[in-house]
Formats: sequence, structure tokens, C-alpha cells
Amino acid sequence: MSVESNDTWSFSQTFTTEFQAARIDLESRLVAATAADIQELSTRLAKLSKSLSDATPSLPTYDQKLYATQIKNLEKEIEKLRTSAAPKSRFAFKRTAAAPIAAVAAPPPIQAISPPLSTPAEPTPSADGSQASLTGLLEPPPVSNGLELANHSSRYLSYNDLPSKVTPDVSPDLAISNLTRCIVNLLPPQGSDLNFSALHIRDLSDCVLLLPFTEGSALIHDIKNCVLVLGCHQFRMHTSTKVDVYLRIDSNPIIETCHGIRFGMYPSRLAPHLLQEPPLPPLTVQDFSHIRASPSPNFSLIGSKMQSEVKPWPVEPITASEKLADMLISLLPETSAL
Amino acid sequence: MGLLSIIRKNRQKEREMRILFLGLDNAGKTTILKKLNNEDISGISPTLGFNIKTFVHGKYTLNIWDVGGQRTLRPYWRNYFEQTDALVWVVDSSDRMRMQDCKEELHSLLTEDRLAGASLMIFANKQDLPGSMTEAQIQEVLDLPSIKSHHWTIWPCSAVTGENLVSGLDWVVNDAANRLYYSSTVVNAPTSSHPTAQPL
Repeated sequence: MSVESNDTWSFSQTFTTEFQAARIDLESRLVAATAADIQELSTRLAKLSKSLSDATPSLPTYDQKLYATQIKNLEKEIEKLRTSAAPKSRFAFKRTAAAPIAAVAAPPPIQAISPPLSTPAEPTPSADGSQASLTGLLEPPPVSNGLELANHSSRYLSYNDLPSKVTPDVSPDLAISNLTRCIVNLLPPQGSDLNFSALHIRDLSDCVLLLPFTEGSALIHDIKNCVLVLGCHQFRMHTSTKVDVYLRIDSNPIIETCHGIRFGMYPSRLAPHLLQEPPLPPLTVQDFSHIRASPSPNFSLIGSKMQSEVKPWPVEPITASEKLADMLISLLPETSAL
Repeated sequence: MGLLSIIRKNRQKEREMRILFLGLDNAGKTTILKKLNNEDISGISPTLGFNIKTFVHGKYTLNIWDVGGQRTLRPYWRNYFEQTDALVWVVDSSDRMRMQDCKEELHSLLTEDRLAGASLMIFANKQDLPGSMTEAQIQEVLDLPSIKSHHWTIWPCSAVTGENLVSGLDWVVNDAANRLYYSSTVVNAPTSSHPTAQPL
């Protein structure tokens, strides 16, 4: 037995030296290689990889892996050389075969990205022919009871800015998208009881949103440096950074690929009826990008209840742009960029 | 007696069906299941992982797997494909912004070998919301008519009101049963009283 293992050992030793010498030789020749050498180099590489696969059973696993990657790198190098140095006509077949694959592979990401960017709720006919069918499909019906608030910057927005009047007996769904440096106040006016059935928020930056309680769920995508005040049935936030969320919720709010999110309680000053309701247990935020026992680094809880109560919530309309900017600075998580 | 008929007989005894509920996050998969089971739907949190519900529906015992739809969880869907008799794809009809995402996820699922042959039900959920898209619009946006690999249908429903949930599940069960247990439907027919004489 010991003789056999000794044999294996010495074999792997000699193989290692031979293999490394051949590899280094090949590598150095590759650096200076021209198109004419490719054929010879690839035959030598093929021989080398054959000898490796023959020797594999008697090599330690670490060495097997190491040599296999080295061979792979060499193959890559040769392939690179081949594609860069080869005369076009000679390898025409290969190239045309490769091109359609690249062309087929490329479009899907573009399609995947473009629809969310072209806000589907804008019923503008697309000028671009190729896009027309795509966005055309996404266009909402002309009569929709969903409300939308989109494409504003540096403004104070309230109920009057919604495209259609909200009637108390229906609960429409609300979409808020593409806002920068705005304050949105959709808290129900004194004495009225308005409600949204679902909330979709997308692409906001440097905004403060004061929203009422929503019976349905809130779905939030791609917002940064914002303050959200809302109550909802379910809360999901995706790909957002630096957001302060003042939340009233029965279920567990979740975040996914988010950073710098802070959660606090819905300020009862903005919803006096909260004082009559029993207090909810503290929030149990779940971070789906950090499914581990350790606490997630992506969010924190703003502890004291007072903190949200004493903030100067902008419940009154602001028209002057400097005042609006001041208000944003006093509320937003990060103010250096403003 | 061939192997196939032995297998059929075996399954006939069990009368079990495995149904997979998938869809984007916030579609209402868990809410539909809880509503079907007459459970409270007010405190449902986004699903981290999966839920299994087993209940008897008509003649069949359904094992329903409800897997979370968050983007981070979607790569794990494939772990649940094995032996799926029916796939229920739940769509949030009010979520216009993500219909394209929804379409891509659905069509990539349908290329999966292990789901081949499974009945496909598309629940156009949240029809109670005034701004939701209709069944016809969703059918167009998701490009459902192009699906030739699966027996499919689309069903407008609302998990909150419970509208159309039971009838939708009836379709799923019947469609899967016709495929899996068609021998049993033959047995029930008056003409063939001898099970051994079943045509294969």
C-alpha cells in the first residue's frame, strides 16, 4: 500500500513540474503569438489538457482544480487571439453564427427595462414603431378609476393636483411616480373619510409624502432620499435608499435590496383617530435581501414615538419655492445633495 | 395490465393533486388561499418562504404550495416544480407598472420541463379595485394566446370579496383531473363497468 501511495506521490510531483513547465512555455509564447501560431499553440494546449485529464485520477483535488483553471485561462487566451487576429473571411462562418446569438440575447434586458421607464399610464401614442406595440399593450383603458400623480418637480402637491376628484364612496388605487423635490400631502381634509385601495409608488427622489391610511397594500420601487408617512395593510419596498418611513401597519413590512431605511411610527398628530385605537405592537421589519439570523444592516428602527410627533410636518400648502426647499431640508434624511 | 394503468390506479386511490401558486409579490397568492379556507385575511404578511395548505375540494385532496413572490425568492421557485399537477399564476390586476415583469416571469416558467403538461390557471386578482385591468386586457398584455404548451384559462377574481375563487379552483381541479384520472371518468360512465377493460 505504502509503495503504491509513494508512486502516486512521485507521479504527481513529476507531473506537476512537467505540466507547469509546459504551461509557462505556452503562456510566454502566447504573449508574442501571431495569427500564424494559433494552430500550433492550440494543438499543444489540447495535448496538455489531454495529459491533465489522463493524470487527474492520481492528482490531489486542489491541484486538479488549479490546473483545470489554468488550462481554461489558456483556452480563453487562445480564443481571444483567434477572434482578434483571424482574417475575417476565413472565420466568417463562426462569426455569423456567433452574431445572431448575441443579437437574440441582447434585446430582452432592454425590453425588460424600457416599459417601466415609459410610464404606462400616459396614453401618448409612441412615435417609435418598434416600441408602439409594447407600450400600446401597457396603456390603460381610457376610462380608469385609478388615480395618478406623476412627473412633477419642486412643487407642493395635494388633492387638487389629482387628475380626477376623489369621491368618498369609492376607494381608488393611487399611483405616484416620477417626482423630484416635492411635498405630497394627501391626508384627508378635515372631517372627510377618504381611502385608497392600493398604492403604487415609483421613481421618487427628495420627496416628502404624507399619505392617509390605505386599506390595501403599498408597493414601492426605486425611491431615494424620501420621507414616507403612510398606513397600509401590507408594505413592500424595493431597490430604494435613504428613506424614512413612518408607518402604521398590521402585518410585517418588508424591504428588498434597500439601504439606509429607517422605520418609525405613524405620527398620531396627522391622524387624531389613532389616539382612540389600541397601539400596535412594534414593527417587525423583514429584509428579504438579508435572510439570516443576524440583524439586517439595511434598516433601523427610529425608537422614540416623540420623534415623529414633533417633526414640522408640512400639512399646509407651500407656494414659495425657497420655503419649499427649506422644508425639504428640514425633513429629508440627506440634505447635502439639495 | 400495463405499468401506466397500475400507476393510474394507484393515483386514483390517492386522489391527490399538487397545485403550485406562483406570481409576483403583492399579487395576493396567500390571501386567495386564506380566503378559500375561510381564514382571516387582515393580518397577512408578505410570504417569506412558502406555505402549504391541504384541503379537500370535491372528490380530491389538494396540496397547495404557495411560494413567496419577492424577487429574491423567485430563483427558489424551481425547487417546487416537481410533480406539479396544476399551476395557478396570480396577477395583481391593478399593478400596471409591472405587467411586463409579470409576463416575462410567467413565460419563462412555461418553458420549464418539469411543469410541462400542468394545467395553467391565471387568476386576474384584485378585480374589486376600481382601477384594475380587465380580464381581456390582462390576457393581451401577458400574451396568453401564445401559450400552446399548457391548457390555460384566465379567471377574474377578488381575494377580498371571494368572487370567483371557488369556481376558478373548480376549473383547475377538473382540468387536472381529466388529465390525471381520465380512467376514473371512464369508470363512472355506465358503458364500462369492468375497470380492467379500460382503454389505454
